Amino acid sequence: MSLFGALNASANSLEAFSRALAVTQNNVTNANTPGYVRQRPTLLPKLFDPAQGVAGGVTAGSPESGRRDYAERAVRRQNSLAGRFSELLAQLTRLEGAFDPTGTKGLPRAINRLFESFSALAVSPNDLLSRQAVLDRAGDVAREFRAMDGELARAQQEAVEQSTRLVGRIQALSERLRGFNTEIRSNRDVGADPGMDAEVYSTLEELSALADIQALQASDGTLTVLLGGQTPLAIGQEAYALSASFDGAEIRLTDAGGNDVTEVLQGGRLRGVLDAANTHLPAWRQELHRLAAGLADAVNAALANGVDQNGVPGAALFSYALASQAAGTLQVAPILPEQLAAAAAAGPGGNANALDLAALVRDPQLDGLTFPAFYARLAAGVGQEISRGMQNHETASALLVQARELRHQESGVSLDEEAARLIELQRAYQATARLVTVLDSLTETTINMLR
Amino acid sequence: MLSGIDPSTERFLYEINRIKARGDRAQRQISSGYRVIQPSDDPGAVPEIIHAQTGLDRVRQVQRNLGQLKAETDAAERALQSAVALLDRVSVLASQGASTTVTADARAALAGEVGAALERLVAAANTSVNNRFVFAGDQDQTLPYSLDLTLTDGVSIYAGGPATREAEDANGGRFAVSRNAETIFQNGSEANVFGTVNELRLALEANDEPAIWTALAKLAPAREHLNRQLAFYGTVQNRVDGELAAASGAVLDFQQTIARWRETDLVEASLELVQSRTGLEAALSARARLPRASLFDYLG
Repeated sequence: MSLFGALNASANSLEAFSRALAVTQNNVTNANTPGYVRQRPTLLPKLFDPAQGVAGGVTAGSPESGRRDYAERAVRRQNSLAGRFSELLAQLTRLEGAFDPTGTKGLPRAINRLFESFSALAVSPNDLLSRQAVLDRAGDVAREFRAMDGELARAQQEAVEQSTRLVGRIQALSERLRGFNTEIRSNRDVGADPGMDAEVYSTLEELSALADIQALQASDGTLTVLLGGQTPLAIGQEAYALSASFDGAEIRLTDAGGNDVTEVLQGGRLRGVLDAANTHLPAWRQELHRLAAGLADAVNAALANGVDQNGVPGAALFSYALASQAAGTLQVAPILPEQLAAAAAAGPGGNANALDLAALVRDPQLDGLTFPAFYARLAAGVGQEISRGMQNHETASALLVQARELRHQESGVSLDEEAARLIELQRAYQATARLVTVLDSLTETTINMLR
Repeated sequence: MLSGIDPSTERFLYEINRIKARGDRAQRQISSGYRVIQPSDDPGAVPEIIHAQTGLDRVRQVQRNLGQLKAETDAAERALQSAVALLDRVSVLASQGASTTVTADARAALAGEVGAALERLVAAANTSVNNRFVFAGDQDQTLPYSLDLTLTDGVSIYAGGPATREAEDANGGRFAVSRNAETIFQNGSEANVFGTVNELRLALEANDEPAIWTALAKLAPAREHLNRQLAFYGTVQNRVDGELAAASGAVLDFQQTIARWRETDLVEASLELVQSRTGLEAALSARARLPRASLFDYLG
């Protein structure tokens, strides 16, 4: 092995250590960069054969990425779950105030006061003020039903708008991924760049919070991203459209081919919006319509059994458009106070019908429940969904934190580890530099000897 | 957008938020006095609270109704007491008029007094409370009787209606609360109070001794009949008082139920608040003591 060969090997080693140090420096500076994973410098031994004058040494290989696909998938999966429950919770919580759980205000209070007014009418069935009070309380009930239905309708409208915003964001992220794919395909080295890699994976993580996605890496380094594992969002240099539309009852998602992919989506904030807008809100509205129609029909039927102050069969107190829209269209019929049938047909001027009307609040009317109990079941159902949503959100958030911790342990930058490596590389660098100095001295001595 | 917070800090913030949420909830419960403010606070309690509140509202209305009814039955009872007293007085006048020593002029004077009693009996039958004629049956806006001495009974034909009204008790039961003036004052030939008194008045005016005796004989059953009506109203009064007491008990029961389900258990909430504060302080303190230095801090 010649001195020059040794010098050359040492110089190469210095270059290798320099590149390793650059990797460590990059790790330290990107320790908190979203999506960044630690890069491990690799040092490769060179061929060493003193007999042939091959000096050996070391060369720097490509840095080894610390990214672990299973850890990334776990984070994305939990992120989708957390996104779903957090959005569902946000959609439902804003409605909670509309459902009074105490019976002291809002719709339950209005219903109770209507039946109180029937009860008061039974004491003074021919008193105009008592009769007017019934009409006023009925007006309150109709107004409360409309207000509550309006709140549910507004919540559904806001969910539709939110779904449009989220789909827009998903499209933008898909477009960004398409851009990355284009760059990677045009320059494969870019794919190996930790910075680009961090951007790609942080985009995937952001996307996973919006929708459950599956990301597959092709042999050329480009990513195929599928919504719900089935619907393409980005493949190679193509991004695929996704759109949300409201058909008056439900939000439907449509892919680029015009296929309905609503049920394909199982996670992410978009799923949370769909859960709220397609499942919970319509169900609650339907129950509210049932309550409104049931109450109106029962009161009207009871009134029809009686006679008014003129001995004429009682006029209907409530009216609504369709049973399926009863809460939103409930009105008090334009009748005069004297047209209220407080008396039974057999006893004009009596209070038998007013007592029957007052008794409606105690008698089971809908699904074997009284009107207040039916409302209570609805309000309790809302509370249960929100309470379950809170628990799910808490659990999903905890699992997401845990998944991120595991990923960090697997792939994150450890400053202690980087410091240790820095010292190690510094020592190696110093030793090699010292070797170069010795070799330089030896070379000089040898040259002097030859002179 | 993703944050660059490291996972251990993220975990710390997550746990801090959980502790803080517990504390906020306890604080809210203590300051409002209520455990259930929104349905999600305790969904299982919502049906219980609404059921109790509905019951409370209903029973309070029943209390108001019974209170109003009590005023009417009290007035009816007072009117009937005065009618019985009037009938007693009429009996005395009839006995005086039946005496063989009484002159025609004296009988005429007695007839005037009996006529005045009849007028007061009609006024009793027309007793009103809160603009309602309590003996007019279901037609309570109509004056039941007016004095008309040209008619046989001395009064107009009964203008009210049948008394079919009932009152509701706290349990939803119903009971009859009134009788109409016709039943009370003009109930058939034997208990026709107005007719008997007017018959007496006419007999005294006519100085017709046998007719006076006939009218006098009819006064006793009329008085008995009035006393039975008085007893009916006494029974109604007792029932109303009993139902009012029962309603008060029911109100108390419902209020206790609501309090049990809705109101804050202050001891539990205070304990929760203290625990969450302690937990928060401990977490912050522990976090503060965590070594923040890395090996870089020791590199010279």
